[in-house]
Amino acid sequence: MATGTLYTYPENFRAYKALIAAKYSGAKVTVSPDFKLGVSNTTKEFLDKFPLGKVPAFESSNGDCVFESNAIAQYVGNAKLQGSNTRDQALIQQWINFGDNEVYPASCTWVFPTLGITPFNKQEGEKAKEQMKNAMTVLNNYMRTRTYLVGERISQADISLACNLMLAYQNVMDPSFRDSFGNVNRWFNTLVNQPQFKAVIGTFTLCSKMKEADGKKYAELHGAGGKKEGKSKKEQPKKEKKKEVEEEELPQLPREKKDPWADCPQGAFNYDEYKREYSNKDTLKEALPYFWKNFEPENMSIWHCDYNYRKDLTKVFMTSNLIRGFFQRIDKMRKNAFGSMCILGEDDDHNISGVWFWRGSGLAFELCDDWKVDYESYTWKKLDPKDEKTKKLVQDYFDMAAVVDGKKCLQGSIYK
Amino acid sequence: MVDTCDELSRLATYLGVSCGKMSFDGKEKVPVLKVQNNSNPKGLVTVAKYLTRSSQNAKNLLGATPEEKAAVDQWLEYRITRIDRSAQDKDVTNTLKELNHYLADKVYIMGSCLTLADILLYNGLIEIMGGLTFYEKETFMNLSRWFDNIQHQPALRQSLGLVSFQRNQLYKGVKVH
Repeated sequence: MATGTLYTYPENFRAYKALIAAKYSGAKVTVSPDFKLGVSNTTKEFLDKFPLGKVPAFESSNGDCVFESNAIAQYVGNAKLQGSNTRDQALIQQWINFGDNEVYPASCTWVFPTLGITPFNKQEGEKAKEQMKNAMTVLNNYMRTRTYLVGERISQADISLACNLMLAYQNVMDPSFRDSFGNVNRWFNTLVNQPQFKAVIGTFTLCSKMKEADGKKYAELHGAGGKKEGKSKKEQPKKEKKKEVEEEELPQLPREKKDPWADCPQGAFNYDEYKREYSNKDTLKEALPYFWKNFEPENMSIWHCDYNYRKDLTKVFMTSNLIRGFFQRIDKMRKNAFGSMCILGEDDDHNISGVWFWRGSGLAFELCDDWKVDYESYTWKKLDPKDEKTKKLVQDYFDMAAVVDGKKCLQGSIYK
Repeated sequence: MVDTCDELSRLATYLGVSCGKMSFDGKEKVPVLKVQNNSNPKGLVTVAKYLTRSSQNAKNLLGATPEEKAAVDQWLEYRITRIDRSAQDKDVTNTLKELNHYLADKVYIMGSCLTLADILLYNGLIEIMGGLTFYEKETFMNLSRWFDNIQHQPALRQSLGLVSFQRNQLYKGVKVH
């Protein structure tokens, strides 16, 4: 039985094909925990094994290096999933290819603009929707008399095609669209609720309302407009790839190895030690006193921020996702920074504000191109560490009490 | 009705439990299982549930959550009251219609995995399904699809024959119930 490591970023539908197959076959596939897209797959070590630098990529315990998601799925699957005779094997292949060629391209063209990954093109979008309808009609007629695609048991065909449909079922195929494909829905729902699927994808929620193309998000993700035109252009392909959860192709990017913090004096403040204090001890009694005792005004700075687009924030969980995304994109900054972001206000009328501190006296986000994605959506104000007001703000935000800065605190997240 | 004993011993084999001595109570017309302490479980559903609960590998055949368990129970009762006791053809047709309609958006009777409800309904319907014409099977499309899927578990079917179903549409303009 196959054992090995799968390299992928989280929530990769292509990787799911293999991970679910492994659940059925019992193959021991571990997802590489420290894989970072755009970093791990551009190292020489990775490229020696997988010259394309694309994920998912699988390295078996006996040294085989396999790329291409379908191949990996086959590698970690078993005979039951792949068909016991040539006829079944051929039919399984047929439906895998159907998913890759008929469903997937159309679903990307339709869904990506709604996630802000690609720009919206009305003509293309409508065409893709039609193609999707066609594919779904074919599938619906086929499934009328069938429970699973090939034979009477779940095969790789079911796993792969269902994975290829997830994107559309999750984002755009709302009840009014999917109701005419009852047979496909029955099949899809049964699959995503199988224990082997659930173990990999968790609970799958079907789309309740068709998402519309989001031009603003696209602009935000791709850093369009503004004074930094020149720089953000250079940056664009990288960000695009990061967001493109479904993209298997990942061209390598030349990366600078230089430490972004190199120009800021290091100082004696120990960020790790502080974060340990903060995480393990009482904020008011121990962590804050520790902070103020060790704070070095010459090497560090404290900042306050407010989100600029308050009117775009509606649901708290969505706002919370926005913050989480921000944190993820500046992951590399953790080493020398700490921040608290709070959602303040009421359920349908709130804003994001935060208090941060980091190494150096300027805006830390400007030190590295990778960190510039979100910070321009906020207004940043440097705080005077000697001011009593600053002390109060720091205390409010870091302690995340019910009332922060005079406003009701709905939720707080710590960047540490 | 004697073959409920066969049905239960097939179930016992499927579950990997030894079912001991099974007899048929002619007066009450129910199967009886002889167990060690003489509290002999009686009746198809009772014995079936007893066997399932004694099995190691029956995972969630009786449903995982309280809601699922209740739903499975309901369908087991359905088997007794609606299928086994349908006296007239009219009743049978109504039951098939009802099941066909119910199964339109489902792969299994309850939830997304096989339960005891599927097994007992399958057994209760074998004779009826085997007696349908291809035309009738096509009018009960969803029921046929479900039945065909269940009967393709060799471990469940064991020595029983396969009822044949047609994948392609044979008749034009069939009105599905």
